[in-house]
Amino acid sequence: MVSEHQFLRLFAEHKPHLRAFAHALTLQAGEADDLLQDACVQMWQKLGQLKVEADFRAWACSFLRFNAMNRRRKNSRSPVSFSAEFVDQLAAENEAEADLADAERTALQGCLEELTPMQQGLVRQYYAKADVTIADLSNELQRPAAGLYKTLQRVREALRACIGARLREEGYSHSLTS
Amino acid sequence: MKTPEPADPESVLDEMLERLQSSDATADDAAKLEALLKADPDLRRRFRARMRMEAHLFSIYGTDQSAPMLTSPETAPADSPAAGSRIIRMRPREMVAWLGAAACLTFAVLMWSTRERNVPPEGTSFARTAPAPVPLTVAQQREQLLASGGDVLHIQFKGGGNAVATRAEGDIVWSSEKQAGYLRLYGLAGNDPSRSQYQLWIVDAGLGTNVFVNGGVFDVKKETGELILPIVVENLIREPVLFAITVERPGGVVNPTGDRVPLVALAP
Repeated sequence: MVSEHQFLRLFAEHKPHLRAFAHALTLQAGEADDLLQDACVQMWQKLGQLKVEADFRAWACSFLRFNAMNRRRKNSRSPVSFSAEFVDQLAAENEAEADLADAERTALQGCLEELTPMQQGLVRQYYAKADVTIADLSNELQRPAAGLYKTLQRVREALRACIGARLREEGYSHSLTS
Repeated sequence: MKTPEPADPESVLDEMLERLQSSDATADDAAKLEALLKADPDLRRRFRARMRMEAHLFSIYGTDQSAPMLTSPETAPADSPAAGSRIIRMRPREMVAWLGAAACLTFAVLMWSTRERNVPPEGTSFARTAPAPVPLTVAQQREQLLASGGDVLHIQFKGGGNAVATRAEGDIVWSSEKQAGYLRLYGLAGNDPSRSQYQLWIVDAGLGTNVFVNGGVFDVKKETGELILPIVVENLIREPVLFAITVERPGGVVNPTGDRVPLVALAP
């Protein structure tokens, strides 16, 4: 039996992986936060179902998958979601890669320090809130959207390359970001 | 004739994800991305990696979930568009502006205490709000913290479908730099302090391992009205990942029992 204390520790530990999966399911960062929060509450309430800690991640992902499908059913106007069949495929593939999430996060933190101050500022503003779009940023910074879009693209590319290099240095045989 | 170069897969993803993030995204946009991902395992691999990177970036930089904001008839200015409606959607800056003018509160009586009295590590200190010439209300102090920028987190609570929280909503404002924060609740059922009390929990990931911090116990005497409580912790909170309110026995407990979980708030 998993205790509440263990549950919250597990949840916090696996949160980056779960959030990434929620984002893949909803395709919108703000929706992903909502999905994750709903699932957290439901998991806590149904904790009796979880027998061993090792099953936590798969168990948690099943809540996300179920909730995502439920949202889709309830809100047929919700335009951005994948089919149930494809969600299952993503879930299986995602699970197989879950162990990389921690290593990627550590690498990312180092890589962010390698960005220029201007790039760091832009990334900070873009990712401060889940629902910020390039258009929002363009209005706020009074800069052309196309330029910001390109800059963010270049920054992501630099981060991807940097994470890939760092993971390879650490002996990961197939970096997913390369 | 020269064959056009195939589009860079990362550019394809960037373009489609940005499109899907926009408010006018359609079912066709999602279906198009799904078809591309299904047909191309490499693109799917890149998509999953991209989602993980996005999740990490939101987790590192996210400070405000920008979820529907809570207000109440008591605090909404009469001439504001929010008057008469309890939940409105606002940008943080707009919210700070109108909240700055609203100081009146309906208060539930609270008893705020902590059960664990852990001594913080040597060399750590807790920043305290400097005394102001005119004492600020708790609501004003909360607004001040919210407007101070920096590392201030502003996150919404989600209900657990529990009987005591069927109508409950609320939010957390927290700054790890200042070690100060406020819990705002609305619609939580009143409790009988001789039988049970509400208890706030903070899960802190700042030391590499997730540590539970007791955020104190409190009582709610009225079901209606806004309740704003300063968060008093004696452990240093470095990186809060989750805030939760549970119903526990009088005086609180060392670890949450979780039998009744009215509200949970996740940090970005």
